[in-house]
Amino acid sequence: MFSSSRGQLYSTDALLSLIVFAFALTLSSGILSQIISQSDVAISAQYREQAGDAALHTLLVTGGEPFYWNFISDKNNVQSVGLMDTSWGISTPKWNAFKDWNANDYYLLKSRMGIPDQNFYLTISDTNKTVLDAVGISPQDKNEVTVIIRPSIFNGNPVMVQIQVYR
Amino acid sequence: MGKGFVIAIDALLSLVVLFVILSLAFETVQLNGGEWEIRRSLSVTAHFAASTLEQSSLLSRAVLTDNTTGIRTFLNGFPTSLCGSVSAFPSPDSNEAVFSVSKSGCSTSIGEQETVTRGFMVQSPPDVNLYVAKVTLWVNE
Repeated sequence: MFSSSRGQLYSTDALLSLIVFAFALTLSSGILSQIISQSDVAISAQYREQAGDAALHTLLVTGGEPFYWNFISDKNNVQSVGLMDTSWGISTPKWNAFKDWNANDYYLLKSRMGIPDQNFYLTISDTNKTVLDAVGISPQDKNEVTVIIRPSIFNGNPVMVQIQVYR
Repeated sequence: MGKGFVIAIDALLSLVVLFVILSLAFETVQLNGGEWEIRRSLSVTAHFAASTLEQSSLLSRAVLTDNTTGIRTFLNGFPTSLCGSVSAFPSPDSNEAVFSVSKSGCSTSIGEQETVTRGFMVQSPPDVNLYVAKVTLWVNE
């Protein structure tokens, strides 16, 4: 009788420890999956931000490679796209070439902008927030869109250039 | 039986403490990363703003005409979430601003902010004077 009660005591302990272990396992797997899912969203957002930032930086701070890429008819020979002319600001001829390229081959254009696996929508707005021109595909109802804004000069006036990057 | 319970509760407690520490560490890492990203973005945008203000001659015009409407309009063009101010000084070591203008509807910065300093020339023939502009951007709270 005495030994039987001791045996029952141990099995209760084992059961309890199993419950605690199962609880801890469930808790840890829940937290881990939450951390992983948060990390995925954060990594994806950070990647979009870096890609969009680099693309916009190249557009506004460089003239592209080669510099007079807007005169090259076969755009496969263009290494990177830049909109700057010899001084700070967006060159109107390059902007027009940029728009034409977007209309003719959006996928090659975004590849040369360094964002082949992303979509983009780029707008130029005046300081009254009126959109003067736009290039790319509007994200419309996309949920995960990264927006980056940089000031620049267009046709001699200060403007806000905004790029929206999404998958 | 009493001893068995003590061990189980100890184990449970230690696990809870471990998870709390892990969660706190994860949140802290995320928060610091976000702050760093905001500061970097503010700094880059401030550099672009300073270059745009200088190259569009808005800064030199404001000094010459004593009219900062153009600069205020420029600052108002930023999104609602972003606030900014521009001050101009007659020399790098001067503390007395020639003008100081802020975006409309923005209160003084209480959080993260980034300031960029940029020199610009003001021509008033026969003289050409060097001024210094300070562009400060912060997140609208």
